[in-house]
Amino acid sequence: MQSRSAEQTIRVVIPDGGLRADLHIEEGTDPMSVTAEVILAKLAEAGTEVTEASRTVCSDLVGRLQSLCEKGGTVTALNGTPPDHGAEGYLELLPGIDPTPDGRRASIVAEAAAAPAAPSKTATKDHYNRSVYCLIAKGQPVGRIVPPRSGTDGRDVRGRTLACKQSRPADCQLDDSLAVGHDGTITANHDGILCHEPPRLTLRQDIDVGGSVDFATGNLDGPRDVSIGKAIRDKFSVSARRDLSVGGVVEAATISSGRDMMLTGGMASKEQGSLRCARDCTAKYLNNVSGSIGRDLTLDREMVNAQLDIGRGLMAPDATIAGGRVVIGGAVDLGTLGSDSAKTVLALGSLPSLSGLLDNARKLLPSVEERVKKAETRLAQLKSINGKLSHAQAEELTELEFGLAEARGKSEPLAAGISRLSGTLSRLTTIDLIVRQRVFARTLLCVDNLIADFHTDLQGPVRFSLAEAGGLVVTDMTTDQTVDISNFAKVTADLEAILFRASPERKPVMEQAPERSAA
Amino acid sequence: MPGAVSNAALIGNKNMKVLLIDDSRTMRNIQKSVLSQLGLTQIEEACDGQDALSKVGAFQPELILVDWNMPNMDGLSFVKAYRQLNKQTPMIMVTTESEKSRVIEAIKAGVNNYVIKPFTPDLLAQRIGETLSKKAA
Repeated sequence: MQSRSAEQTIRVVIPDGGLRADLHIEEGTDPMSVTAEVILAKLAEAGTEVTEASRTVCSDLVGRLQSLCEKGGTVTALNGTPPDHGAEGYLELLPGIDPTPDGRRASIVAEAAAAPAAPSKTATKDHYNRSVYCLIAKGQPVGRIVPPRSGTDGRDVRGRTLACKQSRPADCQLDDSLAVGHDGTITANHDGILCHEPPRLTLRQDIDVGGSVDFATGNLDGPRDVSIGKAIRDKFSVSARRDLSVGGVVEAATISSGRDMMLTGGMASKEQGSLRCARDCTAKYLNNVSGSIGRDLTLDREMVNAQLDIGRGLMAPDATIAGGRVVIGGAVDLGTLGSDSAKTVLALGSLPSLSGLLDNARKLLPSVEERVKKAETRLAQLKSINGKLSHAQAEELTELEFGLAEARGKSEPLAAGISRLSGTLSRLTTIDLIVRQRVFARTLLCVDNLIADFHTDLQGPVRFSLAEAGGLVVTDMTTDQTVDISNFAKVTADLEAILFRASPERKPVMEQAPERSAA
Repeated sequence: MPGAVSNAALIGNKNMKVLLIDDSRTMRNIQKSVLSQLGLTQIEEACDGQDALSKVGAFQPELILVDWNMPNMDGLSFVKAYRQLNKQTPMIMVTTESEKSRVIEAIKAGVNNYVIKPFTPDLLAQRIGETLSKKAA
């Protein structure tokens, strides 16, 4: 077969949107006709950009194309540059921070599944404490906003620009609960629960659980209000720095609120639950509960076997207190007091939180005053020395002067504080008890230093108050007749023994309540 | 200590670094308490002149309270040695040495003020306030 010229047999193909130019040479081409000029002319004819680089490429291709002349073949002559589209900005959360309850629940389940079947005694995990809510503390970093990386345009073999895409910033909307630093770091402006509903990322301060608090939610510590739709199960703890409301039953759990508490379903279980409420509490019933309520308790049905300190009043005209020990600072309006089966102790006009503080302050004052007196005596001795003081005496005098200033600085505010506290205590406490239905025998009513131990049942409605002479009197609210309580109860004077035997570990309410009111 | 609180207004720079040099820990605690009433909390302590010289380089005090009678290196020797290194930092001698000649000797060595023991917390606070306001002027 007669060989043909390269001008006839070389074809240029430009595939891939112009990113490549291939040279196809047919079989039976005369190798001598393959020259750089022919190749360049073919490429230029196909519309490719002629540059110094393409000229060099053509020279380099001559040898390769000549080797394909006999059988034919294809070589790539030119390559374009594809566009670099850069990278979109995105939200990157720190490891362990998962703002979706389902995501956190999944990781808790996965962790539990990965744990050995029989864990060692030292590697125990507190399953109660693993909350599905992502609680973030003020100032805590949660992640960062990664900025977009801009891309660069490409160029095809014809010399045309291949435009890159515009990379966009992270699709993330933050509110003022989160702050973004110069480097994109996101930190919490206050305590809260991290929530991510793309594109919004926010810290919610209120917790609203539709169902129950159990292993599916873990313990809860709400930075503000906490609302539970159903129950709080045994041994879980829920605290709210403001209001706490629970729709279902609270079992033997630990609950606390910095302000009000509403227990629509009540609190009851075989074991004792713990309740701390800094302000007012409303409950259907409180059975087997210990703790304190800073102000008023409104009770619908009953309080059985409770160990409770109530700072102000109890409004429970249809409810029963049976068993346990209840200390109340203010007025009480109650349905039934006591029961056939259990001894019930009700102490009136007492505020254990403030009384405890007052007792401590009163115990402290004499020792501070004693220090002042001793220092003053020694100071007078040293000052009365005639002539020059020794170095040691001069140093001792300085120490005494300082000790005296310090002790005086403590004793004066302490005395003022005691006086204020006594005033507050007498203002807040009152003896006013109304029992509308019945007071059972075996009930102990404690007022000031008196204990009335009821030996017979007393039919209501009756009102208990202090007589001007100092004793406890009972007024029949139907006939308005007043009689001494000794007609129904044996009266003795041993209040401290009864109170502290019943609750030796009692602590002041103010130590435990996070946001107690000024009162 | 109401006097200390009123003198606190004289202290402009609450981040001022203060070096206390006294062999008595109680005395250092007293001085520390007065300083904290004045709002000064950056305090370093030394138990004698030698200890103090080893600390001034790193701590760079802006006020020094120094006792006279101490073991190893007494306060006067420290003042002389320190003034070779630094002529600016105000120094207050807090001592039982009450004779006039001793006061003059200390002033000549380079102290800026002098407090004689026994002193009251108010007096020490007042002297610190005076010394710093003079230095600032």
